[in-house]
Amino acid sequence: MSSTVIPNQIQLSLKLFTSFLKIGPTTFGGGYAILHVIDKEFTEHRKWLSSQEMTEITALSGAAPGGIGVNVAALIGYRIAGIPGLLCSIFGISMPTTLIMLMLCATASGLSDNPLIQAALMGIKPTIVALIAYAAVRMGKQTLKHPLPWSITVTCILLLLCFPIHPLLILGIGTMIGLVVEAASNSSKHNIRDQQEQGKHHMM
Amino acid sequence: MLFTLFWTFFKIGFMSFGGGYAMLPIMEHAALSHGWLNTQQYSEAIALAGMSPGPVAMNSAVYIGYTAGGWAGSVFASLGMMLPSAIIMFLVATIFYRVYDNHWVQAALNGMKPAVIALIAYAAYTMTIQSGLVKGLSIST
Repeated sequence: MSSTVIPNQIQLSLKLFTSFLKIGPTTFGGGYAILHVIDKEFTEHRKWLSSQEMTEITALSGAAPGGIGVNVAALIGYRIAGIPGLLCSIFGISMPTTLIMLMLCATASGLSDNPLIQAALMGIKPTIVALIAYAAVRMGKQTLKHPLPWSITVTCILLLLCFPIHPLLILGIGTMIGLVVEAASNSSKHNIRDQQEQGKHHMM
Repeated sequence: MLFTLFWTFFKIGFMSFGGGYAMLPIMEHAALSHGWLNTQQYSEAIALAGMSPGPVAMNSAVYIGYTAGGWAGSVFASLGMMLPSAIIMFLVATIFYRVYDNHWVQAALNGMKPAVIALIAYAAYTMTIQSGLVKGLSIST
């Protein structure tokens, strides 16, 4: 029995590897763009996952650290073929883009004094600013719906601009505020409940 | 040197909440303080990393690794970025999905998301200064 299970797992892992190898190079501008490509490949084409599972995987991948594309690949790989599947999927999705980037590095570092390359880079930089700013706006639309997240964002930006603060501290500060607010709202709920119960006692 | 590259990106990989863009200030901090790149090279790195296909964080790691230690450097840096993803997603697949609905976890994530937006906005700001779009507007020290 186990002799048929193992080749099966390896076969599945190889299929995962080639699937993600094809999807990898299409990830222009970050992972969100490929989510629907992955969705199509695995729920419609290969029918390995239900769209319910896909939604769950996407939510978890967005919350965990790391690029969402790589995370989705890892979770799908694990779900379908265990740890070998996870590793094959990560390598599959990362390899093409890493190789492309390496070739670019090798070419660019040899030609970095070339005026044409310099001109091209000068033209690219502003578009990258737009790309990054758009990422902030897109996340902001999902998250900044109340005064509290707004004030966290504004405080953090001011801290980053005015002090040589380590950027990781910013994440820590945000997490702390989230937990403190949760603790505060929990205890105020308790207080209200206590008061209500006391009120009931008085009534009786 | 190769190990430092690997270790630095390994640590960054564990912290990269909110995807690659939020990691840009952290990578800048690491790359500049180790002397792997100067600010000029860093802005070129981000320009190339952003225009290439693939995750920005991974691409930046490849570029920074390459500049600091050639081919071997980029391999070590990108493995450093990849490994935490593998470990974390294994943990997520086995443990984390059970605590995802826990209200403390949700509260921590709710606080972290606005901070991530601040980091991304700051990355856009640094890139604006370095790309020479707005000269002499630098407030940061």
